[in-house]
Amino acid sequence: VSDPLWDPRAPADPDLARLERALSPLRHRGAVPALPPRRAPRRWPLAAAGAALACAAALGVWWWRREPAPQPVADPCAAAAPGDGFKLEVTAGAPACGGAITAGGVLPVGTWLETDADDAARIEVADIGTVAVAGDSKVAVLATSAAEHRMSLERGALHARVTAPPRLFVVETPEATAIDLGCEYDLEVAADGSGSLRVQSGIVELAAGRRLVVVPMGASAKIRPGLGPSTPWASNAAEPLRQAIERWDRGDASALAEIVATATAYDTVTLWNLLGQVDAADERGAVHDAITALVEVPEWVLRDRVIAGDPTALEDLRESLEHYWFFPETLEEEPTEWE
Amino acid sequence: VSEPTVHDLVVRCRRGDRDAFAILYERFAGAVNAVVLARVRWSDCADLVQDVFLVAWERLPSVRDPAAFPGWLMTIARNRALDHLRRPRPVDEPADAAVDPVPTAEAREILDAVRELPDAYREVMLMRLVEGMSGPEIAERTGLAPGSVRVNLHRGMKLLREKLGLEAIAEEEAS
Repeated sequence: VSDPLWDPRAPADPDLARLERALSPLRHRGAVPALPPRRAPRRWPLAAAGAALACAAALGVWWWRREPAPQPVADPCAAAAPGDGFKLEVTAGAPACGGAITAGGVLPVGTWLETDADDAARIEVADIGTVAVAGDSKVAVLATSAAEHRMSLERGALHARVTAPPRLFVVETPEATAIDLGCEYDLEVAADGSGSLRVQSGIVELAAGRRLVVVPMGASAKIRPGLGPSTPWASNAAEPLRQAIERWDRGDASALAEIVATATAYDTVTLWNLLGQVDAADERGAVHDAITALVEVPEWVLRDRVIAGDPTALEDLRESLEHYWFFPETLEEEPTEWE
Repeated sequence: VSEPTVHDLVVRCRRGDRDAFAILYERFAGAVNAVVLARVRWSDCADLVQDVFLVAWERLPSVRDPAAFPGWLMTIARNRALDHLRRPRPVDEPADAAVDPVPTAEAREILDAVRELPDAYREVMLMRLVEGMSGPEIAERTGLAPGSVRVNLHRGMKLLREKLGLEAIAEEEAS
């Protein structure tokens, strides 16, 4: 059976032919760019050069003494040097590194690590933390430097635990980017790019295009293909609130009133993120007032500045709410009565 | 004489072979164009495609596994497109209408509808509809399994027909 979608030489139906004809002017027409000479290796300071020379000498001795072990497919993780990527430890099964079965070593930049249902692996993210990968997952190191360590989770699940300054560890997924602000979290991605983020400690920013949400400890957010991250919710959010958030994220403006009405003191993470999503001053005012009715907010967080969308005021408000996000048990305490 | 494989071309590029890179460019530029076109204005696409390949040329020596090249290149393209979206735009930046070819209203409508599809569908749909690539070519250029490409093409086409108000055909309904 001819399939014109699969084989453009097969006769197309009139609609498909019309779409092709309309879009064909957008076809790529450029020529290969003028390629600059590749950058020469950096000149290292003398001490670093000495250390590198010692490593090279040790590597040379090892290379000279090792037994030749021809394999049908070489394991890039076994061959990579420590500076090429992140240390990889296989904790169960036999994951594939660059398509070859690996027993661990170093996951070099640009090489996929794939685990299946029986496999598990632990990756050391430089000296700032670890990433555990298991199940049907595919990850890679995209870049590593003193300024940023960037990984890709193409599909599957990872558990990250990082102790580092904010924004030093980033995980790209096909539909969103998780930016670590110093924390522990679970990230899952399905084959269609949808997924979820659950944060156990600290804060993670989840971004796609211009949409960015802040997901703190105890909160979760969905990754929606083509739409970016959902509005986050607290793990103990009530079902009616969860449903109202879903309706709001699908574009139902009437859900805002329901969110504001049903949110509890545990749901200020949802309310604070909504402040970045509503445009009208009265809506922003309603969200602000819902927050201040639920929890105590310092007097220097000015209502009119929050309603005006002042980034500093929003940041001040967030900082004052972080206390409740990180120590939700304080919400159970009786308010102090000052004399 | 058989065509050089992507594996061979990547190995040659890592050594600095510019002719091999030109062949890789010819094979992959369409796919990269589709990936960026799925996200940014088409007047920006040509520059972004060149930018993606300049980055790839610079970083290719770090690609240890030549088999990872297609997925690696597509990731660079997605990241550059997202970086481009996050960048502030100058106020007097020309609109799409100022570029050649001038987008027709029909093309704009179709492209907007494709961009509303999930990522997994919109990229392969643009590779098929804009670049005229076949299913096997899309699989090779993206590193996706041929079966996934076929499913994504049919589901993407079904959703696109719904968005554009076109009549569905039986094969897409079945997928």
